Amino acid sequence: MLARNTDRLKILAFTLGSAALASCLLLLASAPDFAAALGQFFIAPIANSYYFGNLLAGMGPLIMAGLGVAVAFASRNFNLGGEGQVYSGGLAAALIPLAFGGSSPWVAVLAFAGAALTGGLLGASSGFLKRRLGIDELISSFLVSAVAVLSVDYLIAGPFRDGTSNFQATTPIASGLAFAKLFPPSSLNGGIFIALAAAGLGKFLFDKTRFGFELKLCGANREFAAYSGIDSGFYTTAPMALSGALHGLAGALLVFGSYGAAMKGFSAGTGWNAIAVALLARNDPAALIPAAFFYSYLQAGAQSVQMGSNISSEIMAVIQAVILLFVTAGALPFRMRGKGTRR
Amino acid sequence: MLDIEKSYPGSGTRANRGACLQLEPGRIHALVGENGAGKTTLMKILAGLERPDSGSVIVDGRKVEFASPADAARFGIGMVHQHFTIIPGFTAAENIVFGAEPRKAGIFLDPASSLAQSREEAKRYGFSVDPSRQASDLSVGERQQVEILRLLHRNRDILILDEPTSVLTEQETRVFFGILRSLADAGRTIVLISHKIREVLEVSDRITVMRAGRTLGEFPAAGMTEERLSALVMGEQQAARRDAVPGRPARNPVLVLDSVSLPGRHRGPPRLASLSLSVYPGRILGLCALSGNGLTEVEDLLAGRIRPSAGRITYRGKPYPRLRTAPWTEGGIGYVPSDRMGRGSCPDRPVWENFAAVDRAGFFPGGIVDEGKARRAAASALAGYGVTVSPDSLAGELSGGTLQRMILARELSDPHPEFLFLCEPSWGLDIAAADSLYGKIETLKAKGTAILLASSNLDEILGLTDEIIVLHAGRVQARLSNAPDLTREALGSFMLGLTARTAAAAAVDGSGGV
Amino acid sequence: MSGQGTAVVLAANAVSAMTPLLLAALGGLFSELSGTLNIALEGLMLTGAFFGAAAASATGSIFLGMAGGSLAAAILAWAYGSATLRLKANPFITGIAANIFASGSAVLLSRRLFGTGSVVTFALKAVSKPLEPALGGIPILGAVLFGQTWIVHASWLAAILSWVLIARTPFGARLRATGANAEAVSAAGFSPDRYRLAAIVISGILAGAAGASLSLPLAAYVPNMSSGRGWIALVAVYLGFRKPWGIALACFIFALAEAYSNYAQGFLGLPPEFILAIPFAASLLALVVGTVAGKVGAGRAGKSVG
Repeated sequence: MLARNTDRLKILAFTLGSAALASCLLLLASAPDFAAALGQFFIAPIANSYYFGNLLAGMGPLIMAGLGVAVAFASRNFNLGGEGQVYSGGLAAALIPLAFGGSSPWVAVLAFAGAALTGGLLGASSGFLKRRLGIDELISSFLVSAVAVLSVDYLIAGPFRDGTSNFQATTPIASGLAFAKLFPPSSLNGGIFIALAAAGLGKFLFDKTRFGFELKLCGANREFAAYSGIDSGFYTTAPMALSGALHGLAGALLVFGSYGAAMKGFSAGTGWNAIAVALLARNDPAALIPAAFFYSYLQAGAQSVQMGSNISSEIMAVIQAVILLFVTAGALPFRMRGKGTRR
Repeated sequence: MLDIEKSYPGSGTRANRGACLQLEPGRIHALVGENGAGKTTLMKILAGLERPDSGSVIVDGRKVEFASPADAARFGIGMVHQHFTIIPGFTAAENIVFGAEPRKAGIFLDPASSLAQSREEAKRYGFSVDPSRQASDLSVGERQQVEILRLLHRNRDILILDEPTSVLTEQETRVFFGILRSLADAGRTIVLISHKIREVLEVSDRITVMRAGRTLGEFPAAGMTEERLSALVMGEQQAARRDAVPGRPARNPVLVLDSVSLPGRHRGPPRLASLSLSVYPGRILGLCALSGNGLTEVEDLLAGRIRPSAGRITYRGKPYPRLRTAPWTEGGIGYVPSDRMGRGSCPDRPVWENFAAVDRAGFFPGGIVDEGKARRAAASALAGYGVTVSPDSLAGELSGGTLQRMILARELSDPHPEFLFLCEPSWGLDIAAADSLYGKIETLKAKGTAILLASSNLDEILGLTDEIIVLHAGRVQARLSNAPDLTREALGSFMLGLTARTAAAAAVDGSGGV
Repeated sequence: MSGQGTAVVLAANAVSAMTPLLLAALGGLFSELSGTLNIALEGLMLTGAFFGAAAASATGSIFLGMAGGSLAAAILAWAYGSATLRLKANPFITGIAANIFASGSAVLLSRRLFGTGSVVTFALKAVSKPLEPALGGIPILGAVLFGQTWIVHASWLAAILSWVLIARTPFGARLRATGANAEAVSAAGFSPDRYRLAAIVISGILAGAAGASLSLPLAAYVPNMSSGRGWIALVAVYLGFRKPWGIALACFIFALAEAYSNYAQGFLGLPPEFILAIPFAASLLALVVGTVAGKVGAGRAGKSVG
């Protein structure tokens, strides 16, 4: 087992190293002043309080949605519907306070519950299709999400649009409800604590509870799980529903924490980012925290470089692609001490 | 092959110790030994799949080294493995010519030519398979023929066959031996890896015996007897046949299969036809059949993987549970599956989790894991079966025999299960361990467990059971009481469908038909 | 417009619109047969669209544009495939990576080369319709089949060639074998990974052509202009029983749905998002109905890698 862990570390190092290298190459190719760009990309996110605050703020939704991805992956389900689940969960969280009015904390609780329910229903639909009809949840979750994103786009720009604002967004939620900014002008807010708590809860769930045990077992060996008397049908729908709910909560964190309303496209990319983060963390809820930190660090770097050297933010897309490309490697391009044939 | 040494550092086994083998064209050689004697390893080296640590391989007087099967192929060496590499979706002919297809105009496939060539080769040596059929429709014996034809199509002169008859019916084995003979007469060299002594004596010219990695010697088959060969292979006196301990009177069955049926696949014959059986507390019912005759289906039914299309299965008077309860709980079901690594264990998780998995209610009080309790339970169960691995080792790291003992320890432990379903329980166990297992089974029987034993080991069946049911073509071919005068040959005859006995009484019926 | 006239126009539009779907689906078919699910079709199409338009603009030739798009996508496919196979990485994840990379790098390059990260228009000549002068006059069939651009005709040719390659050559046999039983392939002395990589590169060529077939007639590149067609192509592969003719039929049906929704947008007053969502919703519905009708196995193919 020890050998396997060092192999994993090597792969992780290779992945992170490649991401850093790719970043440097891109900066070299695009930045007018390479040295300055390097500083903006790698140093500013930590040194500058604005960027660092944003870095920490960005971790919250990444951890929450990443937890959702991890729950699905651990049970061998692919939830590719994260984008739609986050977006629609966020919309729910933005609309519920408007329905109830006031800034009682119960409204916030209701909003989060609504976000979780919305995301959960979307996730459950794919799980249900897989359980009953054997339809690949990878494709169905993506398709459902695509429809969901377009639907939310329509709702925000249409029926629920805030007429008084120039933005395409819903009416902002009561300022008493939104999480206080801890470190203005950065977006760091109390939502990060909710996310950290969720990660801790997730770790406990995975490692110590019966539910987590059965879920992981269904992912590891379905036959054996059935043999042991575990209902693997339940562990097809439930993890997808839970995954969707967590994504929905991530959307709520974005609304309550950063934006204060549902703006068109506010959550774009969160779903894919969460997949990258969960893979970096190898589906371990505790490891999600450093993984989200690293990823958010790259994003803050991209933001800083965009402002400082006028480089477009697509640089982040390329780095994200590099990470995703290498992070699931089972082998490395150079010689690895293999263990020979197992017999 | 001279002085071949081969070790597998991963599992710490010395598979070959100075093994030697000599092959001559036109002869059928047999490589005989018990499981784990090193036969397959030696042949894998010859076939280019493995490299020896030391020693030499000499072909036609020249020393050779094979880096891959392709190298061995250049010298005309080919091997048919135990797991077939048949391509579903292709016809038999397409499988046979795969990789060396006849072509039209150099770039297109020539299906007519493939078919014609396959037919001709098949006919020449007496193969019974029809090359125009779909590969997935072929029986196991026919698939094996396709594997051999594939080697012939590519002009392999030295054919290595790994346990070829383990999946064949008696009839198919006859055909197979005929094929081998004509191949040898045509000048080819055949090597048979086997542990079936009777068959080896029947078909081969020369026999090389291996035990514990060493070759004991090469003997002509002509002068060899079963007893002598057994003694060489086993190295000690064959255990005398065990006498089954009689069970309790048959009352209040725990498990009842009532006219259970399963339709056939692809409009074929039914997989199970109106099968009825009962398992009683304190008695052992033996179930035997040749592969492909319904035993796997019965196992899958009782594992909850499939449901019968007709008939019912009742357990303790109620419908058979879809999700089974742990063996050591009230009304628990113990199940030792034939698929150890897929169904019987989770290779990626530690041993203690493999235990805890089977009884989550017990090891997760209030939904939270009690790791200490699971570890202790695992350790004490394993100790009873002589297993000393740490409960933290991954199940996938255990050797075959140890894994089997882990599963047995889990399923047969105290408190005893109400119903115990054993499938090939002594697989991977040496004689001493198997004996110890039989003792434990008898103890459970005495305590009142209802036991269903599915096994291909006829000595095991005859030595433990009260009743025996033989399946053939998905039906009950014979329902027998296990009496001292019941012989292996009689059982074999039922398994082949040559004789039948469905009434529970009186003399053996020698005429065919049900 | 008469009812029959509308139907003909819709059919003609559908035949034209199905071209990118058909090409992408053929690409997906090759990967699927070799046992890997190719999630990167979207990204490959985008690459083909971008580089195809750029190449056509640079060389002045539509044909070279198509070739350029296919080549660029083939290179991306080769990189994605090699990385996945050599690193033994999860093909779903690397496919997503390829998609993200394709769309991101297209925008980056677009800014660099053309000064904008949004819609880029090119000065291209119109794509010719070689059969129209001679056969375009035939009622119904003339408009629907013969009045199409040469790219559309080329896609049909591609379908036929694909069938020949898959069913009638040794390469195709080994490709199918890799997907059916990879062990048999290595036992026969071939490398299954080589065939998987070949399948991925071929899918790159075809998906690149699909992308170019989107941008060249428009003479423009719109970011993310593939808008989900890569996924629909995958669904088409399943619904078409993994056979070229079935796939063509499935693509036609999807294209018909798309053509109708474009037509309907005019008078039904449906919000634009709804129109955009129709292909995805239709795919999902088709997947569900097809599975319920028991005709289609929608399970995941790639058991051999990752």
